[in-house]
Amino acid sequence: MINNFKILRILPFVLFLLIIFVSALVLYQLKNEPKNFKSIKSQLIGKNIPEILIPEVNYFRSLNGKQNLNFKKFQNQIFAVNFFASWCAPCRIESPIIEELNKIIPVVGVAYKDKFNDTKSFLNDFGNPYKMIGLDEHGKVAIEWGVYGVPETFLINKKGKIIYRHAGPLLYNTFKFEVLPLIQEK
Amino acid sequence: MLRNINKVIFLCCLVLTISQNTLAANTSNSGKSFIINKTREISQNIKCLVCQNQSIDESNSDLAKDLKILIKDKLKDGINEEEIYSFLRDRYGDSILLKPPLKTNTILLWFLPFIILIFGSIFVIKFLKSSYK
Amino acid sequence: MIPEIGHVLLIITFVATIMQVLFWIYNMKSFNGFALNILKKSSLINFLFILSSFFILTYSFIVSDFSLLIVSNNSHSLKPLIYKISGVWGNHEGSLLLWVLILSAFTFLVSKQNSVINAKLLSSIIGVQTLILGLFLAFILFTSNPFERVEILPLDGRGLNPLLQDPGLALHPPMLYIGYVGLSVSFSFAVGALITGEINKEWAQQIMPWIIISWSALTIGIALGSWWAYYELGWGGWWFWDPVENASFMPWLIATALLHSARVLEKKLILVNWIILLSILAFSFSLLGTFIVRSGLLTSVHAFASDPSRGIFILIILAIATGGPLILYALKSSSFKEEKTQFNLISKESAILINNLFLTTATATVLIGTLYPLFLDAFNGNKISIGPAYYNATFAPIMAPVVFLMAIAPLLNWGQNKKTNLSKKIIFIIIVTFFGTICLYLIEESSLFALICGALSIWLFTGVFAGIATSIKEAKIKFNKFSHFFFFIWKTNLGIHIAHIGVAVFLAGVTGEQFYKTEYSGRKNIGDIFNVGDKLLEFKKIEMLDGPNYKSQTATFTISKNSKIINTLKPEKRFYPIEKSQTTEAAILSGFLGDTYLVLGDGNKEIGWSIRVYFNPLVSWIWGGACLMALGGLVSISQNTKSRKK
Repeated sequence: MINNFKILRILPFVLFLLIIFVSALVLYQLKNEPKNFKSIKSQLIGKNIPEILIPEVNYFRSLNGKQNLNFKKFQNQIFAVNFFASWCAPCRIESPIIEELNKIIPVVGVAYKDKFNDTKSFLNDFGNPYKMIGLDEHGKVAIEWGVYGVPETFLINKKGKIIYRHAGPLLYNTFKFEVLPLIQEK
Repeated sequence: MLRNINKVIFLCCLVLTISQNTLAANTSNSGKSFIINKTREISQNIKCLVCQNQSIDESNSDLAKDLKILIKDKLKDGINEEEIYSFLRDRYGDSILLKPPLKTNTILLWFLPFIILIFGSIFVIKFLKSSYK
Repeated sequence: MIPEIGHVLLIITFVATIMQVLFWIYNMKSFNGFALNILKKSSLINFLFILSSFFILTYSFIVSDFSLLIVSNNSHSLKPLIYKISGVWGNHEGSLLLWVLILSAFTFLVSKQNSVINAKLLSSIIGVQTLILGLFLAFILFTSNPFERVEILPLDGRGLNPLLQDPGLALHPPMLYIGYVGLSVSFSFAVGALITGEINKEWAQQIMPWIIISWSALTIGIALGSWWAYYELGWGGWWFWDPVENASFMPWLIATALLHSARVLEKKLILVNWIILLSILAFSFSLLGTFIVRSGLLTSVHAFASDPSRGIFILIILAIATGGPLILYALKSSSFKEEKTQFNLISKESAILINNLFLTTATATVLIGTLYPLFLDAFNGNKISIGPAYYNATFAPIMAPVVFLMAIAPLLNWGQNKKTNLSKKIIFIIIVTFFGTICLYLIEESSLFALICGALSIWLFTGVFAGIATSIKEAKIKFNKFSHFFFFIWKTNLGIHIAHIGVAVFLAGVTGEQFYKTEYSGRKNIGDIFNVGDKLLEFKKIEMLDGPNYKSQTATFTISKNSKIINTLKPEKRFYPIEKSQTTEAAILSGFLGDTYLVLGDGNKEIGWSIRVYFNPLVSWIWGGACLMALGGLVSISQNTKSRKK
C-alpha cells in the first residue's frame, strides 16, 4: 500500500472528511448541551466529602475557632454546601435562592477567603440562609473541594457522597430544573 | 547514502525530543532555592482556571497565589512532584495540567506527530529513490 | 437610510457573483476572450460595490449611528476617532465585511494580470475567486449582517473592549486578513491548473508574487498580534498556543512550504502535484481558522461571539471550498506531465523537499494540538488542556531540522552539486556554532533546550553569511564601493538572505526571552529604593491622571545604573468607566539587547503596591526578526519581476 503513491491523492480528501465530520458532531453537541462545554465538571462527583476540617463560626455565641463543622449531623439526609464570600457580587444575587433551598434541605455555608466581621455584615445585610456556617480563611478548604471561584454549590446525598456541583450563582432556572429534581429523586 | 542522511536527521529529532522532555531549569539541589525553583517549574505547568491562557506561575489572581503557596508547602513537606500533580488532578481534573498526561486517551495526542513524521519520511525516501533511477 | 444602501449593495453583489459563477461555468469548455473580459469587468464591479458598502459601515461608526446594532454594541461616542474606525473590524460582522473587501480587491488585482497569465487559467482563477466571494457574501447576508438595526435606539453605545483600543491591535486584523485572503489567489491558481489541466514553470513564476505577498502580510499580522500581547497583557507573554493563534500559524507554515516549493517549480517541472496540494491546503487552513474562531467551538480570549448555527454555515462553506478542490485533486492530479529528472540528494530541491516534509508535519502537529481537546471532550467528556509544554516536546523538535537545513540549502546548487567546497563550508559553520554555543554556556549557565535553540540561531546566522560570502566569491568581482556590493547582493539573492537572517534573529530573540529572562517581584511603597540585577529602581510617586476615556493610576519609577539615572518608567492601571473594565499598562524600556518590563499590581499607601520587574533579553529581536522575514519576502518580489523580464 505504501508503495502506491496513489494513496497520496485520496488521503487529503479522506482526512479532510474526517475533520469535517467530527467538527459537525462537536457543533451538534454544542448546540444541544452548551453548558457541558463551558464549565468544568467537578472531580468529586461520586466521592465522599473531603475530610478537611472547616472551622465553624457562629455570630450569636462565640465558639469561633474552637469547633469544626460537623457534617455527621446530616448523615441520613440530602444537604447542600454553598461556598460564598462577602466580597462576591454574584453571591448577593443568589442569596434569595439559597434561602429557598434552605427551606427544603439544610444548607451549609462556607465563607471563602473572608474575614469574620465582613461575613457578619454580609449576612446582616442580605440575610442568613444557612443552617451552619464555616470559615475558610485562606482558601485551603476550597482547594480540597476543587472550588475555583465563588459562589459554588454542592449537593451531598444521604450516604455522604457528592452528587452535584454548580459553579456560579444558583439562578432560579438551575434551582428549579437541576437541583430540585435531584433532591426529589432520593 | 539516502538511508544514512535520513537516519541522521531522524536521530537528531529523537535527541531533540528526548532533551526537550527532560528540561532542567536549574540543577542546583540546595534546599531553599530548590524548593523555589521546583515550585516555579510545577506552577508553570498548572493552568490558571480563572484566567485566559495563563499558568498559575504567570497569573496574579488569588487562586493562582493560593495554589502556589500550596505547592510550596507540599514541597517543604517532602511530597514529590508526581503526587502534587495527582493531588491537583484529583480535585480539579486533568484540564488543570498544561502538559497533558500520558493516558490511554492521550496516546494519539503524543504519538501522532511522530507517526506522521515517520510515514512522511518513508514516502519521501521512496520518492527520492524512484526518481534517482 | 444610508446603511440600507450598504445592505442593498451587498445583496446586489451577491446576486452578481451567482450570475458570474454561472457565466464562468457555462463558458468553461468553449473558451473565448470575450468571456474573460466580462469576468474582468465584473470583478471590478464587485470590488467597487463592496468598497462602497464598507465605506458606509465605516461612516456609520464615525458618526456613531447607534441605530445600527453593530455600532451600538461595539462603539461609543467618547471613543477616539481612530478607534471608532478600527472598531469597524473589531467584531464578527465588520471583520467579515473587511474579509470580503480584501477578497474582492485581490480578485480585481489578479484580473488585471491578463497580459501575463494565459486567458484560460485567468478566467478559472477569477471564477474560483468569485465563487468563494459568493459563499462568504451568503454567509454575511444570511447570518452576519452588519447593517442590522436595533429595536430600541440606545443613548450611547456599549463601547469597545479597552484591550482592543490600541494601535497595534487596530492594524493586526487587516494585516492578517491580507495574509489569509491572499492565499485564496494561490488556491485559485491551483484549482485553475486542475481545471485547465495545464501547469508549467510560467505558472510558478506567476503565482510567486501572490504567495509572497500573503506570506509577508501573514508574518507581519501574526507578529503584530504577538507584540501587542507582549506589551498589553501585562506579564510579558507573547505566544500561548491559543487555538486562534494556531489558526493563523498553520496557514503560515503551509505558505512557507508552498513558497519554497514554488521556487523549485520555477526552475524545474517537478513536485507539481505536491505544490497544487499545498496551494489548496494553505487557503483551506485559512478557512479552517475562520471556522475555529467564529463557530462557537472554542472559548478563547480571541474568539468572536460564539454561535453554533454560524459554525454550521462556515462548515458548509469549508466543505464546498475545500472538499471540492480536494476531490478534483484526487481525480486529476495524475494527468500532469512532469520532468523526469534525477533528484540528487545533495541539492537545493532535496533540501526544500525535506524541509517541506518537516513543515507539513509541524503544521499537522499544531492542528492536532488545537483540535484534540475539542474532539476528546466531545467523544468522552474528558477535558484536557494543552499548553506550551506539549508543543515544546513535539513542534520544537520537528522544526529544528528545518532551521538546520535552512542554513545549508542556499549553499547547495540546483540539480547536480558541483564541486564547490561544500564540506569545507559546513565544517566552518559547525566550528563557529560550536564555539558560539560554548560562549553562550559560559555567559550564563543554561539548560540543554536553551543551548540547542541558541546553537540553531548561531548555525543559521553563520549559514547565511557563508551563503553571501559564497556568492561574492563565485562572482569574482572586486567591489570598490559599498553600493557595488549592495547591488550585487540585490541582484543575486538578497531577499532570501534577509528572510533567513530574519529567522535567525527571531530564533535568537526567542532563546533570549524564554531562557535568559530574570524576574523580581515584591511589595514596594513610595520612596523605596531597591536593587534589581545590576540596576537601582526608585519608586518616586503615584498619581491619578485622566485619559480620553479612562482614568489612570500612574506610578513613576526611576531606573539608575552606576549612580546615574538612565530612564523613567511609568506603569499604569487604567479604569474604563463605560466598559467597566480595567487594564494594566506595563512600563517597557525597549533596548537592542533587551527590555526592562515593569508591572504595577494592587496596593495602597498603607501596605504599598505589589510590583513585578522583568528583564527580557533580546525580546525585540522577536519582532525585528519577523519584520526582516517579511521584508525579505517583499524584496524577493522585486527580484522576481526583474528576472521575468529577461
